[in-house]
Amino acid sequence: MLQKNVLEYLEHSAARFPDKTAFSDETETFSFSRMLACARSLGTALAGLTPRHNGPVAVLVDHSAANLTAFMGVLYSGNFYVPVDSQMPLPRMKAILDTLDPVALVYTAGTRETAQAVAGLCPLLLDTDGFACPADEALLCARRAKVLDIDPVYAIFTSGSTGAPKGIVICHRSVIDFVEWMADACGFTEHDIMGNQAPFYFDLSVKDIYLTLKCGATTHIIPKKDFLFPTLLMDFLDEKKVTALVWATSAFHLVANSGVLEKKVPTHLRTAILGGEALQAKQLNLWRRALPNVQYINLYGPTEVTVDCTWYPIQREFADTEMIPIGTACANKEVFLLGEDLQPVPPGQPGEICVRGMGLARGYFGQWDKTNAAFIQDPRNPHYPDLIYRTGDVAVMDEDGLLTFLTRRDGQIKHMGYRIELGEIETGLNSIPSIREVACLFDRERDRIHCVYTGEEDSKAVAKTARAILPRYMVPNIYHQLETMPRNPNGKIDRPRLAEEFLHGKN
Amino acid sequence: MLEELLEILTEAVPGVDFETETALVDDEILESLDIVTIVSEIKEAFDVEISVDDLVPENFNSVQAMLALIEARKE
Repeated sequence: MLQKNVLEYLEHSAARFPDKTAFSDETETFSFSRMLACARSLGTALAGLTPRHNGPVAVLVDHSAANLTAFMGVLYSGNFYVPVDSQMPLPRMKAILDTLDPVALVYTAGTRETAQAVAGLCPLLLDTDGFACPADEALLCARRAKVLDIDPVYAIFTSGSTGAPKGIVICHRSVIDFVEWMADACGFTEHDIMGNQAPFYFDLSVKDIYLTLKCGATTHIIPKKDFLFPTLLMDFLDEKKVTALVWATSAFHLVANSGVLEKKVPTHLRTAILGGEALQAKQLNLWRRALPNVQYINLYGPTEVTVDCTWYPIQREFADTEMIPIGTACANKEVFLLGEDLQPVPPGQPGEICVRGMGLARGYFGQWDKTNAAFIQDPRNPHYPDLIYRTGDVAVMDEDGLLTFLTRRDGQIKHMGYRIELGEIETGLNSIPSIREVACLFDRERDRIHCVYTGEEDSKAVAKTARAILPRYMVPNIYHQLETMPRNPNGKIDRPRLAEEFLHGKN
Repeated sequence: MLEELLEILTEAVPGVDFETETALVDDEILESLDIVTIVSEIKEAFDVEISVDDLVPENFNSVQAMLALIEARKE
């Protein structure tokens, strides 16, 4: 029978490998059978707290294996999970929860205070209380029967240009569509062991989670501290016999830059799969020199297409200065380029990457205008409803059909591996009382965010306040305090002039 | 040297009072791969070789510890 719910992955693996480790962190291990039992219990508890199915349940995540069991528990209750970084500054967390208006919130022992501070009126559930609740088979079946494959599995919040983060809603069918392709294309089996790098509020981690559940593989969550010190990281990967890294490109680059690969390598590794930002040949070559037999794969895709939509397995040499393609479409996705007039562009011409297929998100939670602007009717099809997603990324396709990423159409940047809208940083900074005006610029070459502002406080004070209201990766690196902001003839902030002055026109 | 190091640090990890913090690693103020970023800047700015074996918590908990490491590698 056709699979319609991602929980079937967990159930099948729990039947095949009950005692095998599914997910582990520093302190706790969940075998497939334990994960299943705990998730069904938490699902029962949540079903008792929520009036019906298909509601959003916020889960405060702290990088623990229990978080993933809680995700599955939310699905057992017939609802969908929304991972929220427990380290996020409270004002931004509140903004997300205001948009979401969750039907319940699941927290961990370490995040109780945060939960109480942000939850408002929605019911709260401690994850371990949920895991201990006796499962109610009849209730779980009743909820399960109501969930269709086009209903949401998760919503992930990402930076929004006007300041409010956007919740991207992804359905069961889209996750199944993606994971089936990836397991097959990248050769995943029950023998694979993954070392998780990606935080669970970032959709990169969807690969670790669902490849593990589908294949009956194992994922060890890498302790945060090991990521600070590359030799510890290499020891961890070796000790756990990690075979596959499904990592953010930025982490892959930094390991190469640390020089550790000349001294120590993860000896069990068979594949390294990168995504999140442009893969650099220079760092890739450092890895290839140290580990020539590993299969390196470059993936590309925004959260709105369910994790990734193109892939490029590295099969030839690249000079350090060469651009690495993002490749060709994943199965059951069409990836094509449209010009500004929304007409297809010929090979060799830059165009906006547009995507069609089952992987398209259901939309932005509660934000119809943004949904309608990004998910539009395929301009090539005038006959019946047929949606495409406009990524805002500009690429070029060569004669062989290989895509290479060029740039963004708007103020979105990739910084420290995160997708950020400069507009959201500006909105956050504008809320600081001492700031009169602010404009942010991005130096791509050095991966530095510049903040140009007018106001009384010095840059040190501004940076300190920024750290309290913005996620760590959104805090500008370099500050320029001006007497007055330059303006163009329309009275708007003259951004090209700021870029000329502070980035020497590099932007 | 202190000034230059502080500049590197505040740029890489903005909004932290580096002059007073003494548990940058233990209190998780530095996170993810911050240290690799900082070390590559230090290498360039001070023209020193810092090996991957130097990347241990003790060398990065405070500005003083980092200064001592740079001094030691300069010799």
